[in-house]
Amino acid sequence: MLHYPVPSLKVLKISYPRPTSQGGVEERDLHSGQQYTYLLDLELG
Amino acid sequence: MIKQKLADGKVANLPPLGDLDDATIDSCLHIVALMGPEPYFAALEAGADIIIGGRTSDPAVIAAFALWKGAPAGPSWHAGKIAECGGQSTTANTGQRGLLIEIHKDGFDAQPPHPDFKANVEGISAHLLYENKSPWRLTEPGGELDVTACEYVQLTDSTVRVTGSVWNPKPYTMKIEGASAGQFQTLLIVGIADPQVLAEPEVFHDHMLMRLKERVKSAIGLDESEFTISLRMAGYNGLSGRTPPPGSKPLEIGLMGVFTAKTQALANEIAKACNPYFFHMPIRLGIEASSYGWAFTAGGLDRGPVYQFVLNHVVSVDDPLELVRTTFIDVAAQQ
Repeated sequence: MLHYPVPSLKVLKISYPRPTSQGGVEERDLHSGQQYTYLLDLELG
Repeated sequence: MIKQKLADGKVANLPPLGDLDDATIDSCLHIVALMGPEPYFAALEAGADIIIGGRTSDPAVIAAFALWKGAPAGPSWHAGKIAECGGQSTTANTGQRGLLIEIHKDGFDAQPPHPDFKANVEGISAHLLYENKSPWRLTEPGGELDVTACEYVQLTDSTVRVTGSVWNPKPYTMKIEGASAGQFQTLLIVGIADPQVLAEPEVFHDHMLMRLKERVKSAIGLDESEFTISLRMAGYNGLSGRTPPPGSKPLEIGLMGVFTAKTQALANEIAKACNPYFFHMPIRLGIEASSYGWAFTAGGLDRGPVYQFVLNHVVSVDDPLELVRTTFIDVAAQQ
């Protein structure tokens, strides 16, 4: 998981690879559209 | 062609995928390489009025004309990136999108053409976060755009001026994309409100999965390498696939069974064999059978082929046009 703070925008960008190949047999979120929800409760210090 | 490149040591992997192999190349229905602006230069040089391009980096399509005309690389590429989604980086609403870019020797100006909307520093600078791993660097065919030193100024109330964009040329590589097929899926979906299942969804899941696999092996005679069963519990962890926080109890579970095999007919047969268990299996042996909630009959839904992206690799080329084919059509002459 990579963290990129962007102070001028008051943004923290978090990038991480998808757990499975896109469109594969185990696909649960094809466009990774709901991944952001797992970060909503992260407390930023 | 890709196999030759692989043999010549000209294919590199992008993590998290590992090295490419011939079997993966063979499994692809189709492989495309992402073009940079150079094929567009060549088409413009040859006098094209309209260019229809195949798979290309979005910023490259927009930057191509400016770069061809000799505009500075850093501002041109940066402008191409900002404009790739039209007015998304401005205050425009969906459906009223567009962006006017003016490239100068030291930078570029961005402004929505519609008088009701505005470009602001926050929107324009935030666009580098979009569809990109890093907010500061963007890898493109032939180099990297570095915006670390950029300054964004609100020039007028609707125009932003950007300076400091840097283009770092690198050895030319093209990202390749390919999808494999060859598997098919059938679905079964039931709703469950049984409180014993809701109290221990993962116990239910594991028991159901085990029973279904045994059923397929005994009823159809397949071994485990010939089929896949994936159970998704919508309302509990269907999206994440992970165990939710302790004490999470769903109101209902939408249980979706995804049955995968190498033909649609076989996937259907597997789902059909599983149907009675999917319909009735209680959370553990020895308690009364349930009847879960179907929305319709018959239960099996042909989901169709599985198309899966299997490449996340780059290929080195000696010339940006090495893998590109261009066809010229004189529309007037054809009529």
